[in-house]
Amino acid sequence: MTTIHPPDSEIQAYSLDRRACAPETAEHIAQCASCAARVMNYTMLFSAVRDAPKPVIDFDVAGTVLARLPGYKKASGLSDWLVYAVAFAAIAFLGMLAWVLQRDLPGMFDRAASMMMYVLLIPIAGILIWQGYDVYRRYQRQSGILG
Amino acid sequence: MSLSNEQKPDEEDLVNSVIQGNTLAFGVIVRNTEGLVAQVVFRMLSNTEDRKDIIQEIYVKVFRNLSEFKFRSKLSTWIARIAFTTCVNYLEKEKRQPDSRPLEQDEEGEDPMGQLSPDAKYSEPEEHVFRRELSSILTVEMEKLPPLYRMIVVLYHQEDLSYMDIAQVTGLPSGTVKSYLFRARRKLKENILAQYKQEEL
Repeated sequence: MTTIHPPDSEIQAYSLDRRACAPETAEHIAQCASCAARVMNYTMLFSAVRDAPKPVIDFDVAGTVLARLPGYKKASGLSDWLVYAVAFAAIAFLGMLAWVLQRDLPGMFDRAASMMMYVLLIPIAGILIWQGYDVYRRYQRQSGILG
Repeated sequence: MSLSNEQKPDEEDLVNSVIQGNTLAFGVIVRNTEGLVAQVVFRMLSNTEDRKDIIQEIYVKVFRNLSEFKFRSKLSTWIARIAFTTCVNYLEKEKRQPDSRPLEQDEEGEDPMGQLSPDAKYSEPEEHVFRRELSSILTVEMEKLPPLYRMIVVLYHQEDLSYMDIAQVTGLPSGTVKSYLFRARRKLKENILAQYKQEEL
């Protein structure tokens, strides 16, 4: 056995992969308690580093980045289609109502039923206005990304 | 142009899909590499508030430059390189130079902290205690390392990157990477041993 203790670099290399070290180094370590202790320290250190908790990204990276990319179109969910369907149905209903009652329309607002009309029309108008504003907001956001 | 040996066929398909406009394929790339990017960003930047913005900026850069990726390395390595340079640029911009000063270099073979006594052997209970305390001490001592050394250590030991991969990420010669890794490990061992002995007293 060589009495020369291997340098720290060889001790580290031995701790990582014993097969890759020179036979005389392995022989010395096997018979030298001091060097064996050095190997053990490094082995435990490497193991601890490997087992240490890894950093975790706590937000949806893919979703956030994709939303920032120009031309990215988020797949329309069921709720989006539902809102569009309701808006279309509301417009169609209003149109149909106006066509059916075109002759009676001027007089309707004089009757007591006019209150019912307001109750019906106001929420529908609200939905249409909100939809228009949402489309405008998306357009602004896309313009900002492209700009 | 030759492909790297470890180039996965589906990696090339993903890249081509993204170049052709498939942003969902880009989402796959993001999910496959965000762990590695997190390692680079979290180890290089101590400021937690900026990490989120930096990570987003990294992937936006990846998307914009993906057409320039020539498959000379693994895609993950290329993305890690972008992450590293983004972090370095950020630190320079913030007037905080990335601390890559070399750790003190001792003559090969000398262990400044001294070795354990020749007959030191851990009995099983002592070794068990040492293991439990090691993880908590390690966390503290890792933070004391310069960011570049800290990053290199985790890239090697946690992400299993080779010296060559780390060299491609950092732009350093592989010999330098090996040297930095050696010094960082030794420094960690010395500091941990010193800490452990201090706690024993």
